[in-house]
Amino acid sequence: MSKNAIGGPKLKKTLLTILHYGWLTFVCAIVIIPLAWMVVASLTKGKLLAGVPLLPKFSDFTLEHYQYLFTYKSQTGAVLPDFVAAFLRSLSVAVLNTVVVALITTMTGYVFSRFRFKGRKPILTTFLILQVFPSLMSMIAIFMIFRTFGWLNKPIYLVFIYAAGAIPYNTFLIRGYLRSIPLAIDEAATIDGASKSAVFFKIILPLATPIIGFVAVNAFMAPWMDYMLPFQLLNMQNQTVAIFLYRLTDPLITVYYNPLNFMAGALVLALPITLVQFYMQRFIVYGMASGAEKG
Amino acid sequence: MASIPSSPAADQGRVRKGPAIGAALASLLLPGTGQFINGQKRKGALWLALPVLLLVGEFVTSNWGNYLLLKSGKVPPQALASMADEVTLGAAQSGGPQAVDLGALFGAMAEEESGPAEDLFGGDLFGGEDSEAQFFTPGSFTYPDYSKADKAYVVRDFGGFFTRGVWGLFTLGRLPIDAEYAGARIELYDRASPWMSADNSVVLLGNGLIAMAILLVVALLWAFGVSDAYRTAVKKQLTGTVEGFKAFWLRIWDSLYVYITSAPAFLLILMFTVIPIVYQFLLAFTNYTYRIKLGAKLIEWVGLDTFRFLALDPGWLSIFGQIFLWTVVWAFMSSFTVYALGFLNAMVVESPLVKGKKLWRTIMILPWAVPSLVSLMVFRNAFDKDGLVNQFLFASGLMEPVSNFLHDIGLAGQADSPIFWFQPIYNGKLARFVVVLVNLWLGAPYHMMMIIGVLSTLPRELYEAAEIDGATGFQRFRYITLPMVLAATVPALIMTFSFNFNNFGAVYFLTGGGPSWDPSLVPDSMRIIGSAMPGQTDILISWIYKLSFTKDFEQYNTAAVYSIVVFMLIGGFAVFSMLRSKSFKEEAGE
Repeated sequence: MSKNAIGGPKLKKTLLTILHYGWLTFVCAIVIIPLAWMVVASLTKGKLLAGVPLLPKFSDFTLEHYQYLFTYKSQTGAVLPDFVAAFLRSLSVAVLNTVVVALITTMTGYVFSRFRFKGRKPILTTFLILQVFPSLMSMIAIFMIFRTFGWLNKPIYLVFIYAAGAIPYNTFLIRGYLRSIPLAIDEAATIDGASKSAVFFKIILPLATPIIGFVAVNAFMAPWMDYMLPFQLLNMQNQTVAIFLYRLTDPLITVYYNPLNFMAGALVLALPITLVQFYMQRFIVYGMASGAEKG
Repeated sequence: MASIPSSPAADQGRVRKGPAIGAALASLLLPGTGQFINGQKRKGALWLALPVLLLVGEFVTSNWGNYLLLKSGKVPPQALASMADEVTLGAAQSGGPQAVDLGALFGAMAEEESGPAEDLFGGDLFGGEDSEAQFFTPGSFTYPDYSKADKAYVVRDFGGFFTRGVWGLFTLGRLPIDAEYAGARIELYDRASPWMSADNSVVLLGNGLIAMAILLVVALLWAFGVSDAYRTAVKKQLTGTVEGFKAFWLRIWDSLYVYITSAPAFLLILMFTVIPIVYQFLLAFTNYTYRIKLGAKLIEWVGLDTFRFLALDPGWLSIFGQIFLWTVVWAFMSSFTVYALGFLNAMVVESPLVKGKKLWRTIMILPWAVPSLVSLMVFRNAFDKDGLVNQFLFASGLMEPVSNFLHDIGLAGQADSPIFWFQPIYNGKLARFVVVLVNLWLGAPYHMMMIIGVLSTLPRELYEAAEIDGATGFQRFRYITLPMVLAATVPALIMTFSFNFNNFGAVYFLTGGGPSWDPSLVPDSMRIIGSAMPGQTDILISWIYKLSFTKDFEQYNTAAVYSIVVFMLIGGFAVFSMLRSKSFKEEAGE
């Protein structure tokens, strides 16, 4: 890339192009190899990582790990296989979390972007401080609360914690976005006789769809990946999919330990989530850019 | 409200403060009375409901009725003992808000209702209300005579949610298991008469906090009632009329619109973020460790003892210092690397030289789309002894050179083959390096997407102008792209830093904190914590987790002290960076 490169600008351009494609190929290889390894491992017989070939032999492939996921029941008489039940549990938590977080943070973000009121700044600062404190650190107290209300072993109540944790940051995000919508629009509507709620539902909400979409995707994603809260608050009969998968990779739990089962499960889990991510990509890129700028 | 001048008081130009203060005082003593004095009946009733609800809540969850009967002497203590059963059991049932039981859906799915969750608190000590243990035989004991020394137990034995809550918060309980009380032995859990059960300090602390939080909200509303009574009284003198209930309600709705709209957010945060944080912080001032089996022993307030010990003990201090240092290095390294690589990738993909941008981009953001827990566990397997990495090194014949190289540059303590990435003590540095590397795989795509987003917002004209001026590609990058993208992403970078500072998953799921600390370097004062000792890749938060949840070695108070430290550090950092940020300054200037 030095300025004294031999050859004319054309050669330099060719070299640069090769360099670009070379780098892209390298990065994509690094990205794909572990994922491809996952796929191959999930199709390999047995329960040993050492048995996973580097170069897949298609004739040796087996679906036994997928079969395990969709048939294995730890308790006789269970309606659904363990994995499917865990997956559905996580799914319902994720869906409910999406609804709750999107609804609440939009309202809060709207209020914080449009109204001046007593305690607004202290509250914002408090939000900012709270958002850095992971719920993981106050697990003991959360356990106590769940125990007091009889919510232990009931996955759906995890939504409370996820939502409470997600509100501060997302409020900031939505507030930052709404500030870029001119106040004149609200005012015009108010003059025309629209109530505050009407302004919110008829004007703000449609305009804020991209950022709300972003918040919703994030809220949907969060529960799938959480391990600590369900681990402490749910028993094995009510596990979420993260715990189910983790157990498959823990050598200390010999009954379940099987990294190849894990690979299959991880793929089955990752596939729909990845699809959702891609489907919502428009919102995500948008939200990230605005999040980056507004902080 | 509009026609002020017609009233006599306004003609005189002054307001008599007396009645207004009287109304305010009345409201202070009993909410609503001030409003009644002002002639606002419905409003008064609204506020009067506040203490009424509080008292009802207290009474329903209590045994005060029994206490009064006992005091009046109408019923002998012994007879009451069996009466207490039903009342208290009923109270226990109606104790918490009965939400619609969505959880049942899941119970059905998993086909069998199950026992308690992973028991945080050592065995079945407090298995809860379902435990079948210990039925008492009526008449084996009586209520004590609450006149003398036993007075201190009145609230304990009869108190409702609020009084008992506050009592528990201050005392953390008085009677452990096996204590002699009321002529009987205190049981661990007594289904028939819970007041004969041992006190569980942790539960008392939690209930106390919730009671305090509710009382705080009530106090705020109460204070609002006082100020309302005062202002209405003043206004009444000025205008001669009081505002009707409907008008009041509309006004409240109007001015409180913001609070009401954000109330769900506040409530959730109060309940599931603030209270747990306060709870965790309070544990730092107790002596709660694995040595205290709940029920068998009571927790005590010890003030700043734990802080003092951790600050003065050289062993703890030095390990904390090392973990802290690594946490900072980790947060910095991981944030910097993901940002730099994300930037590079964004520049390359968005370069005009590259065709098929969409396809490249789609592949490159894959790691971000895969749930991080999944990728971390895949990498844990990939760096296993038999994992992808070692297999690849063997197959390509690179095992020995790589192993020797890692040894030579000092990352690996020995030139093993295969390489043990996360296990042996001498490979601490290597494990740390790999953690940063894996985090790069996970984190770079996010930053790439973010920067691509920012790139698309940069003004075209700048580049056109630069091109006309003959700026080279590198110059355009150096003087336009870099500063503008940096300026736009500083807040995100700060966020990334504070996120990584507490990036529990990246460490815990990849290495579990391992390799373990060199036993010869463990200070003597720390040997008591056994397997709660941090590993070499543990960052503060994962160590705090270990301190709280390593079975049989729980150090709740130490973990709490460290959480306070982390909270102060990272919260302070967040506030500091926000105060400096553009958007906040703009707002301050408004």
